[in-house]
Amino acid sequence: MMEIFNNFYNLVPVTFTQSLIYALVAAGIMIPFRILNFPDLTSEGSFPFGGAICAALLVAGYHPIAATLIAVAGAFAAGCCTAFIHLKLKINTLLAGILMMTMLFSINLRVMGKSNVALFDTQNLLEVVWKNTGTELDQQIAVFVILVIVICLVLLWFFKTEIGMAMRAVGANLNMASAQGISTWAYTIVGLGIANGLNGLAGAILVQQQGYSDVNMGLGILIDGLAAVIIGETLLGRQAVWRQIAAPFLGSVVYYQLISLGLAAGLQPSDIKLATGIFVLITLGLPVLRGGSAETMKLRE
Amino acid sequence: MLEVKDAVKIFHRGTVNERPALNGLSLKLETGDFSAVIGSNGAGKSTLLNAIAGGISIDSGTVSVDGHDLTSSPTHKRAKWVARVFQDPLGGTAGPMTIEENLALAALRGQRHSLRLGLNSQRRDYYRDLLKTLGLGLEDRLTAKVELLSGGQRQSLALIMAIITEPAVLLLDEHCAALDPKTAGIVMDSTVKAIEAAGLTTLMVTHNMQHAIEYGNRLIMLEAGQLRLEMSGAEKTSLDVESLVERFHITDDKILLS
Repeated sequence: MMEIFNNFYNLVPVTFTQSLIYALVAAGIMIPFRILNFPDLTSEGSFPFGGAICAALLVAGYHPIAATLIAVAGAFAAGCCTAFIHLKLKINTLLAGILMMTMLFSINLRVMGKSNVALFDTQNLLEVVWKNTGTELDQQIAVFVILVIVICLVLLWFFKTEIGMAMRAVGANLNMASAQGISTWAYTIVGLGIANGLNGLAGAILVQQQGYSDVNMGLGILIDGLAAVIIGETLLGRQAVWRQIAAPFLGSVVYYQLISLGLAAGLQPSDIKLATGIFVLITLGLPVLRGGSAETMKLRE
Repeated sequence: MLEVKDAVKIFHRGTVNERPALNGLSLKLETGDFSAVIGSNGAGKSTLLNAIAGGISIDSGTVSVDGHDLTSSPTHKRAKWVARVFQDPLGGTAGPMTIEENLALAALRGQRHSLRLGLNSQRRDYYRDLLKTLGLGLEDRLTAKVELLSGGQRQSLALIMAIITEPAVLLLDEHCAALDPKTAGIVMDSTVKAIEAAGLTTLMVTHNMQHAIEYGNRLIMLEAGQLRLEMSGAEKTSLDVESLVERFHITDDKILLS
Protein backbone atom coordinates (compact mmCIF):
# COMPACT_ATOMS: atom_id res chain seq x y z
CA MET A 1 0.00 0.00 0.00
CA MET A 2 2.79 2.38 0.97
CA GLU A 3 4.57 1.48 -2.24
CA ILE A 4 1.54 2.29 -4.35
CA PHE A 5 1.27 5.67 -2.66
CA ASN A 6 4.98 6.39 -3.15
CA ASN A 7 4.81 5.47 -6.83
CA PHE A 8 1.83 7.75 -7.24
CA TYR A 9 3.34 10.57 -5.18
CA ASN A 10 6.57 10.60 -7.18
CA LEU A 11 4.61 10.96 -10.40
CA VAL A 12 2.37 13.82 -9.22
CA PRO A 13 4.49 16.65 -10.72
CA VAL A 14 4.96 14.90 -14.10
CA THR A 15 1.27 14.03 -14.30
CA PHE A 16 0.33 17.56 -13.26
CA THR A 17 2.45 19.02 -16.06
CA GLN A 18 0.83 16.82 -18.68
CA SER A 19 -2.67 17.40 -17.29
CA LEU A 20 -2.20 21.14 -17.77
CA ILE A 21 -1.52 20.58 -21.48
CA TYR A 22 -4.45 18.19 -21.81
CA ALA A 23 -6.63 20.77 -20.04
CA LEU A 24 -6.53 22.76 -23.28
CA VAL A 25 -7.94 19.76 -25.14
CA ALA A 26 -10.64 19.33 -22.51
CA ALA A 27 -11.57 23.00 -23.02
CA GLY A 28 -11.52 22.43 -26.80
CA ILE A 29 -13.98 19.57 -26.30
CA MET A 30 -16.18 21.39 -23.78
CA ILE A 31 -16.81 24.41 -26.03
CA PRO A 32 -18.54 22.55 -28.88
CA PHE A 33 -20.30 20.04 -26.62
CA ARG A 34 -21.55 22.41 -23.95
CA ILE A 35 -21.59 25.89 -25.40
CA LEU A 36 -22.34 25.32 -29.08
CA ASN A 37 -24.43 22.18 -28.55
CA PHE A 38 -22.43 20.63 -31.41
CA PRO A 39 -20.89 17.29 -30.37
CA ASP A 40 -17.62 17.61 -32.21
CA LEU A 41 -15.24 14.67 -32.65
CA THR A 42 -12.65 16.59 -34.66
CA SER A 43 -10.32 16.78 -31.65
CA GLU A 44 -9.01 13.25 -32.30
CA GLY A 45 -7.61 14.66 -35.54
CA SER A 46 -6.98 18.31 -34.75
CA PHE A 47 -4.91 17.59 -31.63
CA PRO A 48 -2.31 15.46 -33.49
CA PHE A 49 -2.69 17.84 -36.48
CA GLY A 50 -1.36 20.68 -34.30
CA GLY A 51 1.47 18.42 -33.17
CA ALA A 52 2.28 17.30 -36.70
CA ILE A 53 2.37 20.82 -38.13
CA CYS A 54 4.51 22.07 -35.26
CA ALA A 55 6.97 19.16 -35.50
CA ALA A 56 7.31 19.43 -39.28
CA LEU A 57 7.92 23.18 -39.10
CA LEU A 58 10.47 22.88 -36.28
CA VAL A 59 12.39 20.28 -38.28
CA ALA A 60 12.23 22.64 -41.27
CA GLY A 61 13.89 25.29 -39.09
CA TYR A 62 10.96 27.53 -38.21
CA HIS A 63 11.01 29.56 -35.01
CA PRO A 64 9.06 27.73 -32.25
CA ILE A 65 6.59 30.61 -31.81
CA ALA A 66 5.86 30.68 -35.55
CA ALA A 67 5.54 26.89 -35.65
CA THR A 68 3.13 26.91 -32.71
CA LEU A 69 0.98 29.70 -34.13
CA ILE A 70 0.77 28.03 -37.55
CA ALA A 71 -0.21 24.78 -35.82
CA VAL A 72 -3.04 26.62 -34.04
CA ALA A 73 -4.17 28.17 -37.32
CA GLY A 74 -4.16 24.77 -39.03
CA ALA A 75 -6.25 23.17 -36.29
CA PHE A 76 -8.58 26.22 -36.33
CA ALA A 77 -9.15 25.64 -40.05
CA ALA A 78 -9.83 21.94 -39.42
CA GLY A 79 -12.57 22.87 -36.92
CA CYS A 80 -14.09 25.32 -39.39
CA CYS A 81 -14.18 22.53 -41.99
CA THR A 82 -16.14 20.24 -39.67
CA ALA A 83 -18.69 22.99 -39.03
CA PHE A 84 -18.91 23.73 -42.74
CA ILE A 85 -19.43 20.04 -43.63
CA HIS A 86 -22.34 19.95 -41.20
CA LEU A 87 -23.89 23.27 -42.19
CA LYS A 88 -23.45 23.18 -45.94
CA LEU A 89 -23.76 19.48 -46.73
CA LYS A 90 -26.30 18.83 -43.95
CA ILE A 91 -24.21 15.94 -42.66
CA ASN A 92 -24.86 14.93 -39.05
CA THR A 93 -22.58 16.66 -36.55
CA LEU A 94 -21.01 13.42 -35.30
CA LEU A 95 -20.42 12.08 -38.79
CA ALA A 96 -18.92 15.39 -39.90
CA GLY A 97 -16.42 15.13 -37.04
CA ILE A 98 -15.57 11.50 -37.81
CA LEU A 99 -15.03 12.34 -41.49
CA MET A 100 -12.76 15.22 -40.60
CA MET A 101 -10.71 13.29 -38.06
CA THR A 102 -10.29 10.34 -40.45
CA MET A 103 -9.10 12.62 -43.23
CA LEU A 104 -6.78 14.39 -40.81
CA PHE A 105 -5.04 11.09 -40.04
CA SER A 106 -3.79 10.90 -43.64
CA ILE A 107 -3.03 14.61 -43.65
CA ASN A 108 -0.98 14.27 -40.46
CA LEU A 109 1.12 11.51 -42.08
CA ARG A 110 1.62 13.74 -45.12
CA VAL A 111 2.61 16.69 -42.96
CA MET A 112 5.17 14.73 -40.97
CA GLY A 113 6.28 12.49 -43.85
CA LYS A 114 6.39 9.52 -41.48
CA SER A 115 4.47 8.29 -38.47
CA ASN A 116 6.93 9.57 -35.86
CA VAL A 117 9.15 12.67 -35.82
CA ALA A 118 11.81 13.20 -33.13
CA LEU A 119 12.59 16.77 -32.05
CA PHE A 120 15.80 16.38 -30.11
CA ASP A 121 18.08 18.93 -31.71
CA THR A 122 15.49 21.56 -32.60
CA GLN A 123 14.77 24.65 -30.54
CA ASN A 124 11.44 24.50 -28.72
CA LEU A 125 8.89 26.90 -27.32
CA LEU A 126 9.67 26.12 -23.69
CA GLU A 127 13.30 27.17 -24.10
CA VAL A 128 12.20 30.33 -25.83
CA VAL A 129 9.88 31.23 -22.96
CA TRP A 130 12.35 30.52 -20.17
CA LYS A 131 15.94 29.33 -20.52
CA ASN A 132 15.88 25.94 -18.79
CA THR A 133 12.20 25.14 -19.17
CA GLY A 134 13.02 22.42 -21.68
CA THR A 135 14.52 20.29 -18.94
CA GLU A 136 13.45 21.66 -15.55
CA LEU A 137 10.08 20.36 -14.44
CA ASP A 138 9.49 23.14 -11.89
CA GLN A 139 9.88 25.75 -14.56
CA GLN A 140 7.62 23.81 -16.93
CA ILE A 141 4.94 23.69 -14.28
CA ALA A 142 5.24 27.42 -13.64
CA VAL A 143 5.00 28.22 -17.35
CA PHE A 144 2.05 25.90 -17.95
CA VAL A 145 0.14 27.07 -14.89
CA ILE A 146 0.42 30.66 -16.07
CA LEU A 147 -0.48 29.70 -19.64
CA VAL A 148 -3.53 27.71 -18.58
CA ILE A 149 -4.76 30.43 -16.21
CA VAL A 150 -4.35 33.07 -18.91
CA ILE A 151 -6.25 30.98 -21.46
CA CYS A 152 -8.98 30.22 -18.93
CA LEU A 153 -9.38 33.94 -18.16
CA VAL A 154 -9.36 34.88 -21.83
CA LEU A 155 -12.12 32.34 -22.53
CA LEU A 156 -14.13 33.63 -19.59
CA TRP A 157 -13.80 37.19 -20.84
CA PHE A 158 -14.58 36.16 -24.41
CA PHE A 159 -17.83 34.43 -23.53
CA LYS A 160 -18.97 37.57 -21.69
CA THR A 161 -18.36 39.86 -24.68
CA GLU A 162 -21.08 40.66 -27.17
CA ILE A 163 -19.58 38.19 -29.65
CA GLY A 164 -19.17 35.49 -27.01
CA MET A 165 -22.74 35.95 -25.78
CA ALA A 166 -23.99 35.67 -29.35
CA MET A 167 -22.03 32.41 -29.70
CA ARG A 168 -23.64 31.04 -26.55
CA ALA A 169 -27.06 32.02 -27.89
CA VAL A 170 -26.40 29.99 -31.05
CA GLY A 171 -25.76 26.94 -28.87
CA ALA A 172 -28.77 27.64 -26.67
CA ASN A 173 -31.45 28.31 -29.28
CA LEU A 174 -30.78 28.54 -33.03
CA ASN A 175 -34.14 30.17 -33.81
CA MET A 176 -33.76 32.77 -31.10
CA ALA A 177 -30.22 33.53 -32.25
CA SER A 178 -31.14 34.18 -35.87
CA ALA A 179 -34.17 36.18 -34.77
CA GLN A 180 -31.73 38.43 -32.87
CA GLY A 181 -29.73 39.01 -36.03
CA ILE A 182 -26.99 36.51 -35.21
CA SER A 183 -25.57 34.49 -38.09
CA THR A 184 -25.75 30.93 -36.78
CA TRP A 185 -23.43 29.76 -39.56
CA ALA A 186 -20.66 32.22 -38.86
CA TYR A 187 -20.72 31.64 -35.12
CA THR A 188 -20.78 27.84 -35.42
CA ILE A 189 -17.84 27.91 -37.83
CA VAL A 190 -15.77 30.30 -35.72
CA GLY A 191 -16.73 28.51 -32.49
CA LEU A 192 -15.53 25.16 -33.75
CA GLY A 193 -12.45 26.89 -35.09
CA ILE A 194 -11.60 28.31 -31.66
CA ALA A 195 -12.23 24.96 -29.96
CA ASN A 196 -10.01 23.07 -32.36
CA GLY A 197 -7.43 25.83 -32.27
CA LEU A 198 -7.11 25.02 -28.56
CA ASN A 199 -6.71 21.33 -29.43
CA GLY A 200 -4.02 22.21 -31.95
CA LEU A 201 -2.25 24.42 -29.40
CA ALA A 202 -2.22 21.52 -26.94
CA GLY A 203 -0.80 19.21 -29.62
CA ALA A 204 1.90 21.71 -30.54
CA ILE A 205 2.93 22.27 -26.91
CA LEU A 206 2.90 18.57 -26.12
CA VAL A 207 5.24 17.57 -28.96
CA GLN A 208 7.66 20.29 -27.87
CA GLN A 209 7.45 19.22 -24.24
CA GLN A 210 7.93 15.49 -24.91
CA GLY A 211 10.35 15.95 -27.81
CA TYR A 212 8.55 13.96 -30.49
CA SER A 213 5.37 13.87 -32.50
CA ASP A 214 3.44 10.69 -33.20
CA VAL A 215 0.58 10.26 -35.63
CA ASN A 216 -1.33 8.17 -33.06
CA MET A 217 -1.12 10.68 -30.23
CA GLY A 218 -4.78 11.67 -30.62
CA LEU A 219 -6.10 8.17 -30.08
CA GLY A 220 -8.78 8.24 -27.37
CA ILE A 221 -8.15 11.90 -26.53
CA LEU A 222 -11.82 12.71 -27.00
CA ILE A 223 -12.98 10.34 -24.27
CA ASP A 224 -10.15 11.50 -22.01
CA GLY A 225 -11.23 15.10 -22.54
CA LEU A 226 -14.89 14.27 -22.06
CA ALA A 227 -14.11 12.46 -18.81
CA ALA A 228 -12.16 15.52 -17.65
CA VAL A 229 -15.07 17.82 -18.53
CA ILE A 230 -17.54 15.62 -16.66
CA ILE A 231 -15.33 15.46 -13.56
CA GLY A 232 -14.87 19.22 -13.63
CA GLU A 233 -18.62 19.79 -13.99
CA THR A 234 -19.29 17.43 -11.11
CA LEU A 235 -16.91 19.39 -8.91
CA LEU A 236 -17.85 22.90 -10.04
CA GLY A 237 -21.34 22.59 -11.47
CA ARG A 238 -22.56 24.37 -14.59
CA GLN A 239 -24.82 27.07 -13.19
CA ALA A 240 -22.57 30.00 -14.03
CA VAL A 241 -20.47 30.67 -17.10
CA TRP A 242 -17.26 30.74 -15.11
CA ARG A 243 -17.98 27.28 -13.70
CA GLN A 244 -18.58 25.87 -17.16
CA ILE A 245 -15.37 27.43 -18.46
CA ALA A 246 -13.24 26.38 -15.48
CA ALA A 247 -14.65 22.83 -15.39
CA PRO A 248 -12.43 21.29 -18.11
CA PHE A 249 -9.29 22.81 -16.56
CA LEU A 250 -9.94 21.57 -13.03
CA GLY A 251 -11.37 18.31 -14.39
CA SER A 252 -8.27 17.60 -16.45
CA VAL A 253 -5.94 18.06 -13.46
CA VAL A 254 -8.05 15.71 -11.33
CA TYR A 255 -8.65 13.16 -14.10
CA TYR A 256 -4.99 12.58 -14.97
CA GLN A 257 -4.07 12.22 -11.29
CA LEU A 258 -6.79 9.58 -10.99
CA ILE A 259 -5.37 7.75 -13.99
CA SER A 260 -1.92 7.97 -12.45
CA LEU A 261 -3.28 6.58 -9.20
CA GLY A 262 -4.90 3.73 -11.09
CA LEU A 263 -1.61 2.92 -12.82
CA ALA A 264 0.28 3.01 -9.54
CA ALA A 265 -2.28 0.63 -8.09
CA GLY A 266 -1.53 -1.85 -10.83
CA LEU A 267 -3.98 -0.96 -13.61
CA GLN A 268 -2.45 -1.99 -16.95
CA PRO A 269 -1.83 1.00 -19.26
CA SER A 270 -3.60 -0.89 -22.03
CA ASP A 271 -6.76 -1.07 -19.90
CA ILE A 272 -6.94 2.68 -19.25
CA LYS A 273 -9.16 3.43 -22.24
CA LEU A 274 -11.62 0.74 -21.17
CA ALA A 275 -11.69 2.13 -17.64
CA THR A 276 -12.18 5.69 -18.89
CA GLY A 277 -14.89 4.59 -21.30
CA ILE A 278 -16.78 2.80 -18.55
CA PHE A 279 -16.43 5.87 -16.31
CA VAL A 280 -17.92 8.15 -18.99
CA LEU A 281 -20.69 5.62 -19.65
CA ILE A 282 -21.61 5.47 -16.00
CA THR A 283 -21.61 9.22 -15.43
CA LEU A 284 -23.68 9.88 -18.56
CA GLY A 285 -25.90 6.84 -18.17
CA LEU A 286 -26.64 6.82 -14.46
CA PRO A 287 -28.97 9.85 -14.38
CA VAL A 288 -30.92 8.37 -17.31
CA LEU A 289 -31.29 5.00 -15.57
CA ARG A 290 -32.40 6.82 -12.45
CA GLY A 291 -35.30 8.38 -14.30
CA GLY A 292 -33.97 10.60 -17.05
CA SER A 293 -32.30 13.97 -17.18
CA ALA A 294 -32.46 16.28 -20.14
CA GLU A 295 -29.14 17.75 -19.07
CA THR A 296 -27.06 14.67 -19.93
CA MET A 297 -29.28 13.66 -22.82
CA LYS A 298 -28.02 16.73 -24.61
CA LEU A 299 -24.69 15.04 -25.20
CA ARG A 300 -26.30 12.29 -27.20
CA GLU A 301 -27.76 14.22 -30.09
CA MET B 1 -44.01 50.20 -43.86
CA LEU B 2 -44.38 46.53 -44.73
CA GLU B 3 -45.18 45.41 -48.24
CA VAL B 4 -45.70 41.87 -49.47
CA LYS B 5 -46.32 41.61 -53.21
CA ASP B 6 -47.68 38.61 -55.11
CA ALA B 7 -46.12 36.16 -52.68
CA VAL B 8 -46.31 32.55 -53.81
CA LYS B 9 -45.15 29.60 -51.76
CA ILE B 10 -45.98 26.06 -52.75
CA PHE B 11 -44.91 23.23 -50.46
CA HIS B 12 -43.95 19.84 -51.92
CA ARG B 13 -44.21 21.20 -55.44
CA GLY B 14 -44.54 18.52 -58.10
CA THR B 15 -45.64 15.78 -55.71
CA VAL B 16 -49.08 14.47 -54.80
CA ASN B 17 -48.78 16.44 -51.57
CA GLU B 18 -48.44 19.75 -53.42
CA ARG B 19 -50.05 22.46 -51.33
CA PRO B 20 -50.08 26.17 -52.07
CA ALA B 21 -49.56 27.99 -48.75
CA LEU B 22 -49.35 31.45 -50.27
CA ASN B 23 -51.17 31.93 -53.52
CA GLY B 24 -50.26 35.33 -54.90
CA LEU B 25 -50.83 37.15 -51.65
CA SER B 26 -50.34 40.91 -51.53
CA LEU B 27 -50.47 42.99 -48.38
CA LYS B 28 -49.45 46.47 -47.34
CA LEU B 29 -49.16 47.89 -43.85
CA GLU B 30 -48.53 51.60 -43.42
CA THR B 31 -46.16 52.69 -40.68
CA GLY B 32 -47.97 52.46 -37.36
CA ASP B 33 -50.65 50.06 -38.61
CA PHE B 34 -51.55 47.33 -36.15
CA SER B 35 -53.30 44.52 -37.95
CA ALA B 36 -54.74 41.28 -36.68
CA VAL B 37 -54.55 38.30 -38.99
CA ILE B 38 -57.14 35.56 -38.78
CA GLY B 39 -57.93 32.51 -40.85
CA SER B 40 -58.47 28.80 -40.46
CA ASN B 41 -55.69 26.25 -40.21
CA GLY B 42 -53.76 26.00 -43.44
CA ALA B 43 -54.91 29.42 -44.63
CA GLY B 44 -51.29 30.59 -44.81
CA LYS B 45 -50.97 32.70 -41.64
CA SER B 46 -47.81 31.04 -40.36
CA THR B 47 -46.33 30.86 -43.84
CA LEU B 48 -46.95 34.58 -44.28
CA LEU B 49 -45.15 35.38 -41.03
CA ASN B 50 -42.29 33.06 -41.92
CA ALA B 51 -42.03 34.63 -45.35
CA ILE B 52 -41.71 38.06 -43.73
CA ALA B 53 -39.30 36.96 -40.98
CA GLY B 54 -37.16 34.88 -43.32
CA GLY B 55 -37.85 31.39 -41.97
CA ILE B 56 -38.92 30.30 -45.43
CA SER B 57 -38.09 31.77 -48.83
CA ILE B 58 -41.01 32.40 -51.16
CA ASP B 59 -41.09 30.94 -54.67
CA SER B 60 -41.98 34.28 -56.24
CA GLY B 61 -43.05 37.74 -55.19
CA THR B 62 -41.34 40.26 -52.94
CA VAL B 63 -41.15 41.25 -49.29
CA SER B 64 -39.98 44.73 -48.41
CA VAL B 65 -39.80 46.81 -45.26
CA ASP B 66 -39.41 50.59 -45.38
CA GLY B 67 -38.32 50.27 -49.00
CA HIS B 68 -35.64 47.64 -48.32
CA ASP B 69 -36.15 44.55 -50.43
CA LEU B 70 -35.72 41.63 -48.03
CA THR B 71 -36.98 38.88 -50.32
CA SER B 72 -33.69 37.03 -50.54
CA SER B 73 -32.19 38.02 -47.17
CA PRO B 74 -31.64 35.33 -44.53
CA THR B 75 -33.42 35.64 -41.17
CA HIS B 76 -30.49 37.15 -39.29
CA LYS B 77 -30.13 39.97 -41.85
CA ARG B 78 -33.84 40.80 -41.66
CA ALA B 79 -33.65 41.00 -37.87
CA LYS B 80 -32.50 44.61 -38.21
CA TRP B 81 -36.03 45.51 -39.34
CA VAL B 82 -38.22 42.59 -38.35
CA ALA B 83 -38.75 41.32 -34.79
CA ARG B 84 -40.89 38.42 -33.83
CA VAL B 85 -42.53 36.79 -30.83
CA PHE B 86 -43.03 33.07 -31.33
CA GLN B 87 -46.04 31.06 -30.19
CA ASP B 88 -43.82 28.77 -28.14
CA PRO B 89 -42.58 30.62 -25.03
CA LEU B 90 -39.33 28.62 -25.35
CA GLY B 91 -38.87 29.80 -28.93
CA GLY B 92 -37.92 33.44 -28.55
CA THR B 93 -35.52 33.26 -25.60
CA ALA B 94 -32.28 31.44 -24.77
CA GLY B 95 -33.11 29.30 -21.72
CA PRO B 96 -29.60 28.62 -20.40
CA MET B 97 -28.73 32.33 -20.50
CA THR B 98 -29.74 34.96 -17.97
CA ILE B 99 -32.53 37.53 -18.36
CA GLU B 100 -30.02 40.35 -18.77
CA GLU B 101 -28.01 38.42 -21.35
CA ASN B 102 -31.14 37.72 -23.38
CA LEU B 103 -32.03 41.42 -23.27
CA ALA B 104 -28.51 42.44 -24.24
CA LEU B 105 -28.60 40.19 -27.30
CA ALA B 106 -32.00 41.58 -28.28
CA ALA B 107 -30.78 45.17 -27.82
CA LEU B 108 -27.86 44.43 -30.17
CA ARG B 109 -30.16 43.17 -32.90
CA GLY B 110 -29.17 44.68 -36.20
CA GLN B 111 -25.86 45.99 -34.89
CA ARG B 112 -22.38 44.54 -35.25
CA HIS B 113 -21.35 42.52 -32.23
CA SER B 114 -18.05 43.65 -30.76
CA LEU B 115 -15.50 42.34 -28.29
CA ARG B 116 -16.75 44.72 -25.62
CA LEU B 117 -18.39 43.16 -22.60
CA GLY B 118 -22.04 42.52 -23.34
CA LEU B 119 -23.25 43.90 -20.02
CA ASN B 120 -22.45 46.98 -17.96
CA SER B 121 -24.24 48.87 -15.21
CA GLN B 122 -25.73 51.37 -17.65
CA ARG B 123 -27.29 48.62 -19.76
CA ARG B 124 -28.51 46.80 -16.64
CA ASP B 125 -30.29 49.94 -15.40
CA TYR B 126 -31.98 50.29 -18.76
CA TYR B 127 -33.16 46.66 -18.75
CA ARG B 128 -34.42 47.04 -15.20
CA ASP B 129 -36.56 50.01 -16.25
CA LEU B 130 -37.94 48.12 -19.22
CA LEU B 131 -38.82 45.07 -17.14
CA LYS B 132 -40.56 47.25 -14.55
CA THR B 133 -43.20 48.13 -17.15
CA LEU B 134 -44.30 44.47 -17.11
CA GLY B 135 -45.03 44.53 -13.39
CA LEU B 136 -43.92 40.91 -12.98
CA GLY B 137 -40.96 41.55 -10.68
CA LEU B 138 -38.49 40.41 -13.31
CA GLU B 139 -36.47 43.59 -12.76
CA ASP B 140 -35.13 42.04 -9.54
CA ARG B 141 -34.09 38.82 -11.28
CA LEU B 142 -31.76 40.07 -13.99
CA THR B 143 -29.19 37.34 -13.36
CA ALA B 144 -31.73 34.49 -13.19
CA LYS B 145 -31.62 31.99 -16.02
CA VAL B 146 -34.58 32.30 -18.35
CA GLU B 147 -35.30 28.56 -18.16
CA LEU B 148 -36.37 29.12 -14.54
CA LEU B 149 -39.21 31.46 -15.58
CA SER B 150 -42.83 30.48 -16.12
CA GLY B 151 -44.31 30.43 -19.63
CA GLY B 152 -46.01 33.79 -19.11
CA GLN B 153 -42.88 35.45 -17.70
CA ARG B 154 -40.84 34.02 -20.54
CA GLN B 155 -43.29 35.25 -23.16
CA SER B 156 -43.37 38.71 -21.54
CA LEU B 157 -39.59 38.78 -21.70
CA ALA B 158 -39.74 37.70 -25.35
CA LEU B 159 -42.09 40.63 -25.97
CA ILE B 160 -39.72 43.13 -24.34
CA MET B 161 -36.88 41.64 -26.36
CA ALA B 162 -38.83 42.01 -29.59
CA ILE B 163 -39.68 45.68 -29.05
CA ILE B 164 -36.42 46.79 -27.39
CA THR B 165 -35.00 48.01 -30.72
CA GLU B 166 -38.31 49.51 -31.90
CA PRO B 167 -38.35 47.30 -35.01
CA ALA B 168 -39.84 48.55 -38.26
CA VAL B 169 -42.13 45.52 -38.24
CA LEU B 170 -43.28 43.48 -35.26
CA LEU B 171 -44.65 39.98 -35.89
CA LEU B 172 -46.74 38.28 -33.22
CA ASP B 173 -47.32 34.62 -33.98
CA GLU B 174 -50.24 33.61 -31.74
CA HIS B 175 -47.97 34.67 -28.93
CA CYS B 176 -50.66 34.25 -26.26
CA ALA B 177 -52.05 30.94 -27.51
CA ALA B 178 -49.86 28.73 -25.34
CA LEU B 179 -50.68 30.62 -22.12
CA ASP B 180 -53.54 30.21 -19.69
CA PRO B 181 -56.34 32.80 -20.15
CA LYS B 182 -55.31 35.00 -17.23
CA THR B 183 -51.64 35.11 -18.21
CA ALA B 184 -52.63 35.57 -21.83
CA GLY B 185 -54.62 38.64 -20.78
CA ILE B 186 -51.65 40.13 -18.92
CA VAL B 187 -49.25 39.50 -21.80
CA MET B 188 -51.75 40.87 -24.30
CA ASP B 189 -52.19 44.06 -22.26
CA SER B 190 -48.44 44.66 -22.12
CA THR B 191 -48.24 43.94 -25.83
CA VAL B 192 -50.87 46.50 -26.76
CA LYS B 193 -49.44 49.10 -24.41
CA ALA B 194 -45.96 48.66 -25.89
CA ILE B 195 -47.20 48.76 -29.49
CA GLU B 196 -49.24 51.89 -28.91
CA ALA B 197 -46.48 53.64 -26.98
CA ALA B 198 -43.94 53.11 -29.77
CA GLY B 199 -46.39 53.19 -32.68
CA LEU B 200 -45.02 49.91 -34.02
CA THR B 201 -46.12 48.49 -37.35
CA THR B 202 -47.52 45.16 -36.23
CA LEU B 203 -48.90 41.99 -37.73
CA MET B 204 -50.59 39.82 -35.12
CA VAL B 205 -51.74 36.31 -35.98
CA THR B 206 -54.45 35.16 -33.61
CA HIS B 207 -57.11 32.53 -33.25
CA ASN B 208 -58.90 34.66 -30.70
CA MET B 209 -61.72 36.55 -32.42
CA GLN B 210 -62.17 38.85 -29.43
CA HIS B 211 -58.51 39.92 -29.60
CA ALA B 212 -58.75 40.35 -33.36
CA ILE B 213 -61.69 42.70 -32.98
CA GLU B 214 -60.55 44.53 -29.89
CA TYR B 215 -56.96 45.29 -30.82
CA GLY B 216 -55.41 47.09 -33.73
CA ASN B 217 -56.77 49.38 -36.41
CA ARG B 218 -56.96 46.74 -39.12
CA LEU B 219 -58.15 43.19 -39.56
CA ILE B 220 -57.09 40.75 -42.25
CA MET B 221 -58.51 37.36 -43.04
CA LEU B 222 -56.59 34.82 -45.05
CA GLU B 223 -58.03 31.89 -46.92
CA ALA B 224 -56.21 29.39 -49.11
CA GLY B 225 -53.12 31.54 -49.23
CA GLN B 226 -54.91 34.69 -50.32
CA LEU B 227 -56.26 37.82 -48.71
CA ARG B 228 -59.93 37.05 -48.35
CA LEU B 229 -61.15 40.21 -46.63
CA GLU B 230 -59.80 43.19 -44.83
CA MET B 231 -61.27 45.89 -42.70
CA SER B 232 -60.08 49.02 -41.06
CA GLY B 233 -61.18 52.14 -39.25
CA ALA B 234 -64.83 52.58 -38.35
CA GLU B 235 -65.86 49.39 -40.11
CA LYS B 236 -63.62 47.41 -37.78
CA THR B 237 -64.58 49.28 -34.62
CA SER B 238 -68.25 48.45 -35.09
CA LEU B 239 -67.52 44.73 -35.39
CA ASP B 240 -68.53 42.05 -32.92
CA VAL B 241 -67.76 38.34 -32.90
CA GLU B 242 -71.17 37.27 -34.24
CA SER B 243 -71.13 39.58 -37.21
CA LEU B 244 -67.53 38.69 -37.93
CA VAL B 245 -68.36 35.01 -37.99
CA GLU B 246 -71.34 35.68 -40.20
CA ARG B 247 -69.53 37.92 -42.63
CA PHE B 248 -66.55 35.68 -43.04
CA HIS B 249 -68.59 32.47 -43.10
CA ILE B 250 -66.28 31.08 -40.50
CA THR B 251 -66.82 27.39 -40.03
CA ASP B 252 -63.55 26.54 -38.35
CA ASP B 253 -64.32 25.11 -34.92
CA LYS B 254 -61.04 26.22 -33.44
CA ILE B 255 -61.79 29.83 -34.28
CA LEU B 256 -65.36 29.66 -33.05
CA LEU B 257 -64.47 28.06 -29.77
CA SER B 258 -61.69 30.40 -28.78
